[in-house]
Amino acid sequence: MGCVVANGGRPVRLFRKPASAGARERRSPELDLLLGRVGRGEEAAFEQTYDQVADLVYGLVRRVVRDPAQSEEVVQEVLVEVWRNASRYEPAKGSAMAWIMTVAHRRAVDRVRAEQAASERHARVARSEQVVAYDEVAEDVEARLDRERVRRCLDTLTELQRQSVALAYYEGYTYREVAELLTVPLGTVKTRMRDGLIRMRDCLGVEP
Amino acid sequence: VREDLHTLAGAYALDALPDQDRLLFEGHLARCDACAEEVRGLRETTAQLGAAAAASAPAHLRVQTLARVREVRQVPPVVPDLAPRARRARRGSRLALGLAAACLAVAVGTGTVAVRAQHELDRAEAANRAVAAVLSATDARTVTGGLGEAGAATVVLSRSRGQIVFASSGLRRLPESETYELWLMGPREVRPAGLLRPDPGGRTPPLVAGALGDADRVGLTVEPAGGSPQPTTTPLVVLTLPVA
Repeated sequence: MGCVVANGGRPVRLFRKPASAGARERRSPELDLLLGRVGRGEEAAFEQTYDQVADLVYGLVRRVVRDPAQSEEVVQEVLVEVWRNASRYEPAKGSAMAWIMTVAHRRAVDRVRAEQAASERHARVARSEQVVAYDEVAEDVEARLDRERVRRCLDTLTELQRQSVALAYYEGYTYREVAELLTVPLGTVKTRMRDGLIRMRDCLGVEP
Repeated sequence: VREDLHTLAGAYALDALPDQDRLLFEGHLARCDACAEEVRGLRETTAQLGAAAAASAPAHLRVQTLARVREVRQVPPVVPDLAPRARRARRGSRLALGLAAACLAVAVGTGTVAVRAQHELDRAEAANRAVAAVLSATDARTVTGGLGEAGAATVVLSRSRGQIVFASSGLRRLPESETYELWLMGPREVRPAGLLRPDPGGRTPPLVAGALGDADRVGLTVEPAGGSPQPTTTPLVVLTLPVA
């Protein structure tokens, strides 16, 4: 089964088949508190934060950027930014996890957009789609459960919603590029991204 | 157009907006609580999409990152009112000598456009201590971008000072009813950073702006005379600020 999205006519497997099912609340109050301590300059708290989020940040950045050496640079940028700006994190405005992953995704996307013209990126994606390192996917149980939940929720989306969300998020394409790749009008892509994410949100039981 | 902007919430949460659209949407976000609330929920959602891609980070990355962090000063928390900028400016001028060399070293790496724009900055610095203070900061970094057909925008930023210097060339003269406005753009907000008036040669003199806060980009738009609280037009240029 797995989740498959079309990418310029080529299938891209997003997730490997799940080994087990389960659900878990992602928001970790501990991480929120930890980040507060990081904001007060506690290096030990930063180390703990690093250990909690490094695999998540690395996996995401790797997924978007692909190149291992560049990914490492971006991951380091992200974590340094987390350290630097931790005092600005406000728990009332969202979880520490979302704050960190937002920084990570934005940095990853900045990197690919700065580096490559769209045409090169098409080639890059096509070239590397079979080498995406699924053997490097974290195999601990928690990560597997998360992946399974997300996969199951992605399966509740329409094909167009799923493709729009996945191409933007995992490939770092702009909505204009997604519209081009899927040959649908811009307005449609905008709407599908929004209603697709809303459906994901409701499926995952996210509390804003 | 408002209603249309609102539908960008999904693309925004996916970081799928090009810089121009992103700036416009963030302007909208600052005035629309319902949108901000929706974006918050969608960001929690995309975070889980991200978490689903988890992969084992190499061990050496931990060592490197922890070492790096020990060398990086943290930004202070946001406080209601920041200390007057003038106080910082006093310290700048005696560093002016080291400044030219430092800027040149930066500029060489970024090409001729940078050298030219940097040269403009160098000249103006003698007259402007606040500018010199930023340019001479040990962590000063330069970012440049094209502007129009022949122009360039240059930002020198110092995270330690929490300030940037912005200068540009190649700007057309605007009618009296309009002005150029600079913006500091961060993940949460877009803040006005000052109005700019090009000289007859199309250059704008170096302008100091800050506090940077968590701003990660700088944008320039055309606004009605007197400026706007939030951008209302597509930016002429958006420069991404380096983290470290």
